[in-house]
Amino acid sequence: MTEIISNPNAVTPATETHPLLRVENLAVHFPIRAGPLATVSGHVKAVDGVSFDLHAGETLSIVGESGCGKTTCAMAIARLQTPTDGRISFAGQDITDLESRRLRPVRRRMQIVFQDPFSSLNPRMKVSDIVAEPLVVHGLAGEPDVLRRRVGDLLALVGLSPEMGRRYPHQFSGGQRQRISIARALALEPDLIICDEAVSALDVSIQAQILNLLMDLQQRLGLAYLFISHDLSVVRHISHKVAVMYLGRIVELADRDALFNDPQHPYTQALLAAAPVPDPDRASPYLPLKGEAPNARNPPSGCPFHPRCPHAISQCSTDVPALRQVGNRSIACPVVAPA
Amino acid sequence: MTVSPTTTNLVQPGPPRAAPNAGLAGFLRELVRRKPLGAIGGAVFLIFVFFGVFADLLAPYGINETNLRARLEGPSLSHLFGTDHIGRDVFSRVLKGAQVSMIVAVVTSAFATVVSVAIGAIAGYFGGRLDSVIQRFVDAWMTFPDLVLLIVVISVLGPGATQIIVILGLLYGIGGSRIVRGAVLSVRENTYTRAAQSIGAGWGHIIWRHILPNIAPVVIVVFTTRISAVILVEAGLSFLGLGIAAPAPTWGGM
Repeated sequence: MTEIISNPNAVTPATETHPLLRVENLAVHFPIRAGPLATVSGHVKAVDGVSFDLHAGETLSIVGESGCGKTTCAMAIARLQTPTDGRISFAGQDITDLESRRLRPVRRRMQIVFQDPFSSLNPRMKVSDIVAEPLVVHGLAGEPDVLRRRVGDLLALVGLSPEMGRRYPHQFSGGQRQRISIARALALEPDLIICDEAVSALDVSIQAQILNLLMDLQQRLGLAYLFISHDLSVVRHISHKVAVMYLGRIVELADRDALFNDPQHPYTQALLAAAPVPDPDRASPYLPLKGEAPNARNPPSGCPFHPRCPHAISQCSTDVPALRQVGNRSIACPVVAPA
Repeated sequence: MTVSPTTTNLVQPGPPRAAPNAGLAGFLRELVRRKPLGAIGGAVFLIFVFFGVFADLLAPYGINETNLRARLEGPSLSHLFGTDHIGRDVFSRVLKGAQVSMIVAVVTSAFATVVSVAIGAIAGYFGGRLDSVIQRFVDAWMTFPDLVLLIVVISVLGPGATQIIVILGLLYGIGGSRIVRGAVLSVRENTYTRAAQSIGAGWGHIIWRHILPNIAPVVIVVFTTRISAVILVEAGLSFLGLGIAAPAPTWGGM
């Protein structure tokens, strides 16, 4: 292959002290404004104290139902959303408060693939210009000939033919557009790609193609993925580690197999139980969940999950459980993992 | 994604229509067949432009050539549109007047559009407090009655094309920034703007490469509707004696 796939940063072995991405107590609160003077009457705590590490070459998925703060969390890490509290470190550097000029070298190493392939590509730009844009923005475009070859290589890398660069986005299908988004994300040879529901908008057969492409690229380029999804089967396919979010907090974080084969947190169990099992004789061993997800404007006291939890004890309604390391996983539950 | 239908129509270019006949002749045939009204309008417009551009060659008399023997004559073969109170040929002055009126209209409208796009793009893209401050300024500006402002400034500075272009350009430009701002707000919500931010692109690059190309349809409409408005206002001013200085012919002044 060409020089595009040689990624010097990816070869550096990840050390325990220096994960590629470290998120500590990340919080994003949105003010609720009401009344004639638009006074702040409260806050929606979209993300409320999320912490995790992501190592080079690894895939960490964040799963949870709609409105649990997965995407807000990803946008805050990409600094497209200003965090209210907490720290984000990328490759050992604190990027939480970096001003936009000093953020540029970080952006070069951290790219995003967005959910909707129909609005994430500028309809007035040719595909070759879209893929070349990151290089142009960072002053790495070089000679027109070199740039054209590079864009062609990138398109080939995601399974499109270089001639397609002459077309406009509306001439492509959803899956092809998502490949273009991936080519754009790869242009700067990043270490981390944040995939925000990157396959949710696609048909199942196209989903499989894109997932396999992502995994293939990970092996070849040593990429790390932060994979945001609500689709458990997709997450199971692609992840090394999985974090389960509920109302802005991580309730359980474990290796993929540990989480899917032996879920411990009651919410994780309920979430897995809600996923359809493609076998009528094999009922899920876990109880289905009662009630509805609470309003994020007015979350329950203590553990946000306690009103729906089948195992809740009195302590659950008063104390917010912290994420604790228990065996092979981190879990936030006083019943399953008592202090 | 929640995008209102109107927004989508504004910013999404349709797939290009396949042209069965290549070349100018084919294009014109298609235009007449698909958009007969537009074709007629275009033809009228082109005739006006033609007479305006070649006014000096086509005019049968000099524009300021007086003939005191033939004052206030009706239309005749020697004076197609008749003559005015000092015996100037009205047809010749109408032809020449097209030049002044169109140049003033196009330049004013272009200036107004640049002002609208600059204010609207910055207010719409950055939003927040900056947007609020700019919008209150635009509100205040729009409370001035156009004609009164024009009359005041021109009576101080004296009549002239430059004055009209600058004042009308600012008046329409600042008012029109509202329309541009609205279009920018809807385009800004598209994920490709966020994608450009995540790549590390600066705001100048994002506005130039991503926002402006996608609000082009709105900007074109703002530009063209201003042209007709300027012609009318300029005509009104000339009628009041505040437009283009006296001997030069304009459509409003005659």
